[in-house]
Amino acid sequence: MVLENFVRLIRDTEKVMKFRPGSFHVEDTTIRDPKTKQPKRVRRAVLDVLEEDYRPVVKMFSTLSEKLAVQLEQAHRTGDLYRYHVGITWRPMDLATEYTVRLF
Amino acid sequence: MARKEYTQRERRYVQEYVNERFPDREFVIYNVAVGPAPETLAKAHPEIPLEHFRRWRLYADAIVGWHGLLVLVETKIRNPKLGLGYLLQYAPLVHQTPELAVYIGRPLQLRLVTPREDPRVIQVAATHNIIVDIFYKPWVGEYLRELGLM
Repeated sequence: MVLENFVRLIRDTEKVMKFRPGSFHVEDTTIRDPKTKQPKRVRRAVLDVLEEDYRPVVKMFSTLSEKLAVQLEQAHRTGDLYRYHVGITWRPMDLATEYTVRLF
Repeated sequence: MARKEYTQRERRYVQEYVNERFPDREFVIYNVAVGPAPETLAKAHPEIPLEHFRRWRLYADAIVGWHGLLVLVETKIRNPKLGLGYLLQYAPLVHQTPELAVYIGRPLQLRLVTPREDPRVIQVAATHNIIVDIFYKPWVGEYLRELGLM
């Protein structure tokens, strides 16, 4: 069994999560760029996950996507991010990756 | 010359709109890929590669479940006329979207959301049953002034 501390998104499949209220924050971090292999400073949006696909968990969710982070931050400000279940679908397309976000 | 940082304005705009106009909504889905799944399309059209359907999916800004309706929302801060075309493309595909299968049969309402009136857009929208909702926020006005559009 593989133990994971991070929620992993699967291509074209919705991942439903409940986040710990108020846990949204942005971290500055260094990663290795997967294309250039060089270290790169990035901003990462991070959240604590209380439920993953309706099962209780103690995990983190993070994203480097500016598009997704803007949406999550906005929902964090209004409280929607914690009031609702949040479904995120990852649709990778190289530089044009898209994320669908469902609040329900 | 330093590259100007890109800001995600329409994502913020659509969320503010949905929160203000539909506080009693049942659900909202942002950035919805409308139409059949790429795999379904590729199976039906084997002459077209799957990657074509994956890459060129059609994304609506939001779909809101509200008062028994599905509201298809397209926002355009700068150029509202573009939103008319998107709504007309997306509308027939909404009920073929797998993620929306449980809502099939709900009437569809089309809404174009933009910060200021354009009589030409309003006139065309009316002929296609598209509601044009003028939704102004001070930060949007500031942005349009920066661009010399207000």
